[in-house]
Amino acid sequence: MSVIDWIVLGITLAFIVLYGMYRSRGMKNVEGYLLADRELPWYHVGLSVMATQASAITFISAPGQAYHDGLRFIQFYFGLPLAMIVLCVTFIPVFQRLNVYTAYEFLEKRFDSRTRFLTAFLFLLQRGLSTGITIYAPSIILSTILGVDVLYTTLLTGGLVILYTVYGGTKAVSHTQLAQMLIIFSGMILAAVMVVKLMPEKIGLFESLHIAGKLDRLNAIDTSFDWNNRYNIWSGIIGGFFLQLSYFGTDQSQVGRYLTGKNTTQSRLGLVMNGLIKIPMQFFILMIGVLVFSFYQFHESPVYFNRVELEKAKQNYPTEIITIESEYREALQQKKTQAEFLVDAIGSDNQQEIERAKVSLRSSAANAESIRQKAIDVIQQNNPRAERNDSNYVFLTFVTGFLPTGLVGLIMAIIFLAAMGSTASGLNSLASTTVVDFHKRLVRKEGSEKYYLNASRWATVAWGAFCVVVAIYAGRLGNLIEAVNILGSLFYGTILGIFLVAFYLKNIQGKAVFFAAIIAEVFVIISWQLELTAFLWLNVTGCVLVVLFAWMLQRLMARFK
Amino acid sequence: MSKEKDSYNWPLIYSAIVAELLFLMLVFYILTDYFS
Repeated sequence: MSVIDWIVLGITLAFIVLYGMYRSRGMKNVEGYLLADRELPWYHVGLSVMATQASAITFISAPGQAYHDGLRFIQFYFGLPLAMIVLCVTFIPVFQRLNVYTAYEFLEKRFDSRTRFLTAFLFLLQRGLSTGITIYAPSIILSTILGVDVLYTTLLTGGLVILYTVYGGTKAVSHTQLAQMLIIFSGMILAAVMVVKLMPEKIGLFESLHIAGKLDRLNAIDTSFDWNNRYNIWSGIIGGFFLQLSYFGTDQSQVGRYLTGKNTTQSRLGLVMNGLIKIPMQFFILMIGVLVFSFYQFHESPVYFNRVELEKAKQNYPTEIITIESEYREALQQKKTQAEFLVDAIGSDNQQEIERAKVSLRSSAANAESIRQKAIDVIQQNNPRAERNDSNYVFLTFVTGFLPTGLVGLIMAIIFLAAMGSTASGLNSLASTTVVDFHKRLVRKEGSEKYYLNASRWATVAWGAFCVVVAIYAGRLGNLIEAVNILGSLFYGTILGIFLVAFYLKNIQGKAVFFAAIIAEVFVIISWQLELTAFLWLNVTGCVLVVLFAWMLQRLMARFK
Repeated sequence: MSKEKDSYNWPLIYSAIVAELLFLMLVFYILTDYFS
């Protein structure tokens, strides 16, 4: 990165931190600190909800995923708009009527303290670890791209978030998220325009899409049904619906965002905004990856996008890597020629010609890919812990290699901002759950506003330190990222089941739902161990089983009473 | 959050969300099919 890029990066990050601190100055009470005085308008709520869900990985990985795997990931979000409707109809009015600080407070009012503590504890466990990973994942990628030690990128991301989150609480989180999302949208639009502008002269958007489509990168819809296929329209609508309902309805990092709405209407409108914008936004981000893919049909791409791993392999296996790289360059040249034939055929509008060019292009793409796989074999031979999938490095390699000075710094800033936005919500929700659901309930039931404000600040500091430590050690613990993702999927369905029973099955009591949740959880873990279904379906399984078992247990208990 | 009566037609808003989802799925389907 050039000096100008570093300046852009530094100014953007400093602006966000100072802006957050300025907008939240003069904090005096705990409601202001944890719920921004419940006075935010709908667009604030909507953007805050979106910034919480969109972590840095969204902006780093999604384009890379589209580059290798096409648009099919978009189906993952099909259940989200439907989940927003259920939240607006059921969840928001209940949380509002009971005037709660956290989602788990509601469970004690509806069932008992045992169910509240169990759910809040599961949340702290899962969110504490995953917030650490939210800091670690972009830090490792940025350290590779920027050539800086991962410890510094981790401390920078974690330190800046802790600074303004501790100082200004939810108010700082929401105000910075609004600014972050505006910067993120602007930067991503600029990046998309630049990719199209950087294409060779005769290649416009239409030709780029044709090339991507012929190489299966525009596979946005898959209507075939398969329990083990992670992304098809059915797992997206049904599994995605349960996952999103659980995430937005029961995860305090999201509930805490829409509880900041001035009233029920503003909170609802914020979620409606999320329901309307999320899929187009995600599609746009994936589309950038597709365009980068088309771009690399005419420009030389590295054989493996993680430059550091490639260099390490080159040091120990120089002959193998250099030979493979030379073969790969030849294959890319051949692929480029075929892509140019395809563009000419599209220009002539001759269907037979197009079909022939498509077959040739696919064949040379397959050849290039097989050579790339040989390189990855050598890289893994050199370092067994190196990942086969280099999609996390695709977009930023393109950004640093081809985008103009200034924009590179802005995109890097966007990655930091996205990481900070979701981390801030995570820390804030961890602090509110710790103080409201445990400290206020078990340690000190009566205290002054100042006391709970200080307790919330200290809880944020403690969780911030915990998450940074998780981030620092995450790299040494191997598959921790995967483990945390699994942890989330394993518990979300069960937690959602508890909430659905609370909302819709009024005759079921605390004891039945508590034991139903434990039995359902055992089933979910067995189903995961035996690999019976793809991940998204675990959310459905957990939820349906809790509802079913709670209903059966309640009937049984009534009979034996 | 305070409770208030509003003048929004919520059933219409929810229908618009579903309509947009169906529209986007149709667009994606056409996109998948047309460029393949």
